Amino acid sequence: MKGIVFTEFLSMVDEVFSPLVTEEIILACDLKTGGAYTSVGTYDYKELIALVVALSKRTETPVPQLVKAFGEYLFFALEKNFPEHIDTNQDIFSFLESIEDYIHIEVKKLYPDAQLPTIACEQPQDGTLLFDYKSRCPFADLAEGLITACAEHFKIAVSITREKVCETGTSATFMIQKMA
Amino acid sequence: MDIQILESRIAREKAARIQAESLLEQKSYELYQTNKELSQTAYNLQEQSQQIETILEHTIAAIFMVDQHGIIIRANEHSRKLFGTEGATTGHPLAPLFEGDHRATVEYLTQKGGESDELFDLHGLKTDGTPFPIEAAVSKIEVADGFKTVWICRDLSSRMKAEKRRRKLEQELSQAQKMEALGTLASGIAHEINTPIQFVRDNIHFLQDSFEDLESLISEYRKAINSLEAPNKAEILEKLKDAEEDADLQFLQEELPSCGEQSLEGMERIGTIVSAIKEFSHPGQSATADIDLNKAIETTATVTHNQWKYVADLNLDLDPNLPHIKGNAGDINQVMLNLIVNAAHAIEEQKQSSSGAINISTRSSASAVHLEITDTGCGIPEKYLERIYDPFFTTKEVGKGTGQGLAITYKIITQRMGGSIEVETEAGIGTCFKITLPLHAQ
Repeated sequence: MKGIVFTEFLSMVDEVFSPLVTEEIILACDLKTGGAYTSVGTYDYKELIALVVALSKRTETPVPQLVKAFGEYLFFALEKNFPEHIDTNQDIFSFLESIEDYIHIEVKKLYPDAQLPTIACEQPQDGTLLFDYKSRCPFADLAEGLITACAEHFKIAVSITREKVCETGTSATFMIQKMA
Repeated sequence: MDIQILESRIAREKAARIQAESLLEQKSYELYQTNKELSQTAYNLQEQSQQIETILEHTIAAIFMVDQHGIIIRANEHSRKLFGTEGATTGHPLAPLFEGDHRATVEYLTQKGGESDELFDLHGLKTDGTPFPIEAAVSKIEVADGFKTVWICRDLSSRMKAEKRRRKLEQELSQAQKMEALGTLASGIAHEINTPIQFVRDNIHFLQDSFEDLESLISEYRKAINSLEAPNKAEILEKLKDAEEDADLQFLQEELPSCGEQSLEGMERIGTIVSAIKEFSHPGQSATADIDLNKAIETTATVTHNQWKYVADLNLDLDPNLPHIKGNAGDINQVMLNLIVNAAHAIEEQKQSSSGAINISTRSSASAVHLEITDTGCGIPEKYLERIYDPFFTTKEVGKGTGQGLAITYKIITQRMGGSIEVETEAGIGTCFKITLPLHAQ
């Protein structure tokens, strides 16, 4: 998993909770990296899971809720760092559809070893998008958070429901409907 | 933030910085390697490009790259040389370089992105409007904004001239072989003509003598007519009888008609031989015509009579309803001559006690005529079978064969007449050539 996800996660803990909480969860996890990450590095996704679980314990907040919240935070961080990949799209659906065929391809160019989720989109009818997520990492909640923040970015109200739910969180199909 | 937290942060940031520097170092090295490879690739590409450019510029063919609108976007140096105009260079339309109907073909192929599986013929135009033959190939190249076509055009003028010259030489060689064969047959033909000439000459002598005798007899008859009133009739009658006996009138009455008949037959034989030679030796027209194969066989049998009559009987079994075939009469005469003379030589070589046989038969089927010529000669050894149609291959003794006969025969049958020739042979038994000629010229 790319280091930016880790650095942004720790930033979120700093901002939302406190630097003390950040230090505590790092200490609690006994991480191989010791919690030292650079945004351009690549790290084992299991370290992120360990940090989320530790944060959940520390704050007594359910993991899915934390992961989803982190998804939203991550979207805005990415928006800030890579606006050119988002601003070229006029609409939430066209952006989500561009993830697999454009953003992931660009990421692969820069980081050939990156292990990215697979995204498949389909519009069964106007105003509805089926967003199919598959990954080796159990971050379906993270994807939901990203979608939620994305809607906020495009200033559109949407309802997001999960059509197919995988208990491990490695895959999910989201039905995103634009609300009038 | 208290000191402890800050110290932890600093420690992590240091560790992260070391990671980042290591990563940067690694990426820098990768970048260097990639750049090095790219430089080598660029160099290789440039070298390949130069090689291709050299090939393109030095190839003896016009090569054009043309866009979908038919405009030349690339042309090699030879293009301008071939067409002799600046119109064969970049920025000009390709189609006007070609003649009439071919222009539309070129336009169609450039606009539709046509491809040719094989070379096809076109007529190009020189600046003065002179058309010249071209062999062309076109292929389509897909590009981002559509397609382009690549044209390769080669001038066929020299090749066609050489081909024409080759055909003429072949024709001359063929004619020379025919004349050479006729030369070989000449003494035999002279003998064939001499025999009837001899007896015709004897008959004429006989006629001359007979006429003198008859003239004396007629003189006596005239005298008798003038003396009809004379008293010595018995004496005159006696003189007439003596004159008839002197003239041998009864013999003359018996011999003179057959003498005329024989002479006419002799003259006819000479006429037949002379007309056969004339027909045989004529170079003929290069264009195909209807040929009576049976007649060609009979003509050649006549011309070659002296070649085979001492060693074989020649038996003809010719289909009277044999349809005419398309071809050149001179060609088929030559084929028959070669096969009959070869058969006679093979029989002669066999040295059999009794006379051999040459059997020639013709038959027809729905689409072809079939000719078989069989001899009872020495046969062809198996080791020579693959080479019998090779030019200059002969097993005959020096001065007897040029090795051209079967080579020309094979060429005439297979290439000029679109037929086939097969041989069956057995050493000491004989040889059979089977020829099939299509009824419709190919």
